[in-house]
Amino acid sequence: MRKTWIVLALLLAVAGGVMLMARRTGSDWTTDSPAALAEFERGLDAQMKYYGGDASDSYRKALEIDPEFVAAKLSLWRYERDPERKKKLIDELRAVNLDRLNPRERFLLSYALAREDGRDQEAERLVEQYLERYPKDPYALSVCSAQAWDERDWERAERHYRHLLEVDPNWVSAQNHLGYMAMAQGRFQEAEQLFETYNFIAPDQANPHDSMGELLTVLGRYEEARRALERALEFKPDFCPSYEHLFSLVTLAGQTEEFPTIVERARQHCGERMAETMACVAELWTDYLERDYEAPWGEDRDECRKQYAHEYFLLHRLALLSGRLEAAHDLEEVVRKRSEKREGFNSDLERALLLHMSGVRQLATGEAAAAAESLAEADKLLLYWGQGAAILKMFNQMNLAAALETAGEETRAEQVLEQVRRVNSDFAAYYPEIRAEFAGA
Amino acid sequence: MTTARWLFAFGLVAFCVAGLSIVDMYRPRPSDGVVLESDAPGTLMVREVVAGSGAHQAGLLPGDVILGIDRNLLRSTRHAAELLNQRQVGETVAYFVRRGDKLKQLQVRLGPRRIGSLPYLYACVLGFTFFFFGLFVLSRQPRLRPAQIFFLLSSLFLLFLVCRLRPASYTWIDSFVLTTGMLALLLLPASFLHFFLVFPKPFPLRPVAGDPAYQRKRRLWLAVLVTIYLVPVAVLVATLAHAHWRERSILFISGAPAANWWVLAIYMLFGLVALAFNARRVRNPRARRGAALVLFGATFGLLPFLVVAVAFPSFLHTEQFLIWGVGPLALVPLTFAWAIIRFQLLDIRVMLRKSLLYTVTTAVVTAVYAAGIALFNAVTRGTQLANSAYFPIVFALVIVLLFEPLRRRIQVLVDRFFYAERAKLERAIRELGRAFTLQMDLTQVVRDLVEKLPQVAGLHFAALYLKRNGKLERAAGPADLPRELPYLPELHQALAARDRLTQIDELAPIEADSAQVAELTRTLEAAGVEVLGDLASQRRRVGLVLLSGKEGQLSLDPAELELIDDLLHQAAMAVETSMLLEERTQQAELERDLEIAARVQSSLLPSSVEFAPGWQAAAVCRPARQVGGDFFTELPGPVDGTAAIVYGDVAGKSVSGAMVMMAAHEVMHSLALTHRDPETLMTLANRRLRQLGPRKSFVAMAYLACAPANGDLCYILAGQPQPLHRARDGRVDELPLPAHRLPLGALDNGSYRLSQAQIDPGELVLGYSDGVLDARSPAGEPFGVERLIAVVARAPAEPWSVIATVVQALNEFTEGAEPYDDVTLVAVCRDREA
Repeated sequence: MRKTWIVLALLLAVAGGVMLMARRTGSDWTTDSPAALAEFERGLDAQMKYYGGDASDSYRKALEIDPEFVAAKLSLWRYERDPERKKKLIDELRAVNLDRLNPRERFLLSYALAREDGRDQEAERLVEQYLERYPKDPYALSVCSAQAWDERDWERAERHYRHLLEVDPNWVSAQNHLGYMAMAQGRFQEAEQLFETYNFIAPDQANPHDSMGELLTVLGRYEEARRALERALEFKPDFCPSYEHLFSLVTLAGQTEEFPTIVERARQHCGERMAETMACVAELWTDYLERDYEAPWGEDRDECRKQYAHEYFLLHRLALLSGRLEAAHDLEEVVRKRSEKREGFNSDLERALLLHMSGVRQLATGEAAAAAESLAEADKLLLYWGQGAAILKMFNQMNLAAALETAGEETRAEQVLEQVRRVNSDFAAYYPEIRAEFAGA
Repeated sequence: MTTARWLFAFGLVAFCVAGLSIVDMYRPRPSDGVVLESDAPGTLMVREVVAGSGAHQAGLLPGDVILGIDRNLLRSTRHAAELLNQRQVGETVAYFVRRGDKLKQLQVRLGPRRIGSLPYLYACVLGFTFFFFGLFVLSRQPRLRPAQIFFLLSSLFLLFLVCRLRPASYTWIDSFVLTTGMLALLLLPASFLHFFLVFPKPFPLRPVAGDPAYQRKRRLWLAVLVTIYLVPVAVLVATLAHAHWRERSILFISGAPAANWWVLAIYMLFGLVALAFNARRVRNPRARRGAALVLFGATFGLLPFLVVAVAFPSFLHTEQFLIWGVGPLALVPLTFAWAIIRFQLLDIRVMLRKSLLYTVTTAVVTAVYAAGIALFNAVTRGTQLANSAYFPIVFALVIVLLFEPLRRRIQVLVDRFFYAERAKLERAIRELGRAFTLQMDLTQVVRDLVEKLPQVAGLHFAALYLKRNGKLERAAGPADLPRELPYLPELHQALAARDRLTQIDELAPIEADSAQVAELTRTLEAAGVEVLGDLASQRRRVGLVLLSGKEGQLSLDPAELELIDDLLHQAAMAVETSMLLEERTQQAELERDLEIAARVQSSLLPSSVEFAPGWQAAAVCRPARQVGGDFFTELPGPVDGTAAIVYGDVAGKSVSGAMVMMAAHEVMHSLALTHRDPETLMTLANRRLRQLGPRKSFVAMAYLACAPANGDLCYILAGQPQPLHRARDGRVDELPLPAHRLPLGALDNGSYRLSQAQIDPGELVLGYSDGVLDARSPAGEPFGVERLIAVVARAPAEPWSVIATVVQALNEFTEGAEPYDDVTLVAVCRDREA
């Protein structure tokens, strides 16, 4: 009899276990409208694909369907650029009754408000508390990772992103960010594998191809990079970063004849403003590559010069090459002021840019030893962070090698040059020309 | 619910899970043709790629790690399964794999599933072979502990081979089946060791009833078993806990922690050691050889498995050869099967016979059908008849009708070719049985049984013990068997309850309850006895039959045992008849001897007795049986011209009593020739009878004579009752009791004093033996001295009349029933005129 009861108890336990496993879980997002939820999920999908415009459109639609949809409101607030609308959204979010939200939404909202109000410690505490209870919530992990990323706390960001991938290996933005972090630290093979993985998960999205295109450009695999970037644009012709990357690619590859085509395509899909800037930069690079150092200073280029903010190192170089030392100083002053205003990573980048410009100027004025010192300092601050930063780093290294060689430190110069060759041997091949530019100083 | 039923239920579950695993392996579904390494948890590493499959065509190679399928990075094999199962056979799916340090994307076309490989099929066949052996053994011997453990072991082997060693299939069944396989891995080592602790002989630690240390041993034995079964679980828990707390990774082999595989290996080695130890303790040399063979098979079956399944993955980090370790594992069920036949746990010959028969029949039918169709096609080629669909159908119907007659004919052939020995045995035993029924001579029956049975059944020997005098005496059989065996009722009751021949191993439950049975079975086992049978007729237990095993390593199978059992029943009847005849003859001889003895005894008693002048005397002796122990006689009296009358009563009746009586009679007569003095006579007679008779044999005697001085009565009583004295006024008293009255022959130094009693004229003295007082009425009431006194008081004056009256009173009192004891009456009366 006793055995029969044991068997019955076991059966009951098994049945209970099955029911427990089969029970419905609560909804991920609080809304009564399935249409709003569907729109919101489309927004999340677009956000994951880095299609910012599509994402904000979807969030806006979701809010139109359900004005009380807090998660959609919070997501839209992140994308909103208009200050007034942003303020209106945050005010509405402050007035939300947290009790009607699920724990995740409560956390996301409380965390966003704490960050917005500068209550960073409280925000950290909220993260810790939430993750302690829900250590596998990918949204919370994503928020933490993004926060660390924004704060340029690479170690923390990498840890969070890796944790996020353990929870959900298909969380593509984590793959993307980890790829960039690996790239920044010169772990190019790892970065390539992460981008390949990203590419496998989302082959029909533009960003994985774009990221891969950036990396391959830095590595000098121009044809592969071009294919990747073109593929990105194939999937999303208005994916504007890819035009910029394509532009850099043809610049490095010395294919300046393609500038107009790229500018025209950008104009078609990304607007006049971007196309104009791109056209100005194209002229600047053309001048440099054709050694027409005076051209940028002509009156017809006054408008263009205002748009060279990201290309100051080149304009500065052209100023030195054309003997405009004062103009070079002016540009350095602008960058100095810019670096003082910025914080964190951007501050480092501006400081590195300033050190590079100073170093190049010193090299141009015959202060090779001081130039080497400045350029070496800049090299320490520069990372292979995306295509632009990586190209600047390698360009700076070649100038450093030139300064060292001029200062008689051939061995060190060769070591520095070898670093460039290891990353991109084609780019390193420009060294004799770069070395020759200030050789007479 | 009995243990056997629980085990059957467990076996059913194991069978279903194993069946589920196999169905899962061979169910058609979208498949890439990849077989994954099962010991790389968290990683989907390709173990092998099925030739011609989509994965093979896409260029997937063993060693590749599958990172993603169908645009999803994989979390687990289940995740992979979910993704694949969402697709259809024929679709192309993107695979993302790592090969070395490179990543690759491959397009894999999904084909129908073909996971179940040939090695897995082999493992399944092996597992089910184990299982069915176990099932058959348990169904035959559901109460036998080794059979129960063997079935548990077989079921666990089934789960282990079918569920634990299966490749991953990407389905939910994986986790279910592999978890069950994991349970099997936890239980298998313990049940393996447990089995060899009780097979072929229980380990000495196991408690046996009757052992003074039984309770202590029982507790210890239970503790050992519990420990054995808990250790694998504890190791698993400890491994997981250690890995969790120390954040260490666990080495897995085929998806289970390596530590548990090591437990399996160690337990199996312990099991082999236990088997080796127990095999040495088996007393029967043939059984020992059988156990040694099991040891050989288990060792050579298990060691390669342990090396490639445990040592290789642990030290060389490869499971590549695991399946090769499963190959020799077949030796284990095969040797177990041998042990089962050897120890009579399974009648495999019946299965063999049936399967052989039906295989041959099916082959013949198929061949006949194929030949018929071929012939038809050959004959009708080129004609319209060749395309007819009717012929194959009609021919198939004919074949179906022919099946049963064909089967019968084939059975005859099969029996003739493969079971000729059996048929011969059956015939020989039938003839022997017929011969028994005609046999009247016990010696011949015994000779036939013991000499012919080993010849016809192929035994080493047979022996027959007959029950005589509370013991079993060897009537026939090898001289090295004990001459006598104790008769143990509990053993015979158990044998009779089985109502069939019994393997000596089957007596284990009785051995546990009786140390004597255990001792006896040990003795018999040491002498090579394998089978015991209770030889009994309807009326009585005749004896015990002992049979050895068969020549050449085989044991008697149940069918043979049944034949021999029938034969023994006939033998029992023949022995019974023969014994009855012998007893009847002996009885008749005894009766004749008794008749002669009665005549001799009767001739010793005087037809009349003289006492003394002036006295009348009469005496009578009535034996209770043909011959008796009472007597009376007349001796020369102490005074010339007078006689003494002595009457005696020998302790014991029938022949022995008669012999002593005659001895006492002759002793008294021979001594009386030289010794007239009564006291001397009785003292010497005591000594003489003490020397002659056996211990506890003595004679109650009374001596009556006429006193020399005054003519009164003098008497000596040596164990006889006090004589009665009837006075002239009719009052009856007992004569005074002398001081010394021990029976003759009771003690070495007996001495006797003569007593005197005054007997006046007309007065009477009646001497009698205790048979008078002990005479019983039908109600069981003794006659007693008061009743005797009353009878004597009213009896006539003459001695003969007194005796006749007493005899009549006795007859009336006993209502003519057979006397309880011999009765002797002696009456003397003094004449009135004297």
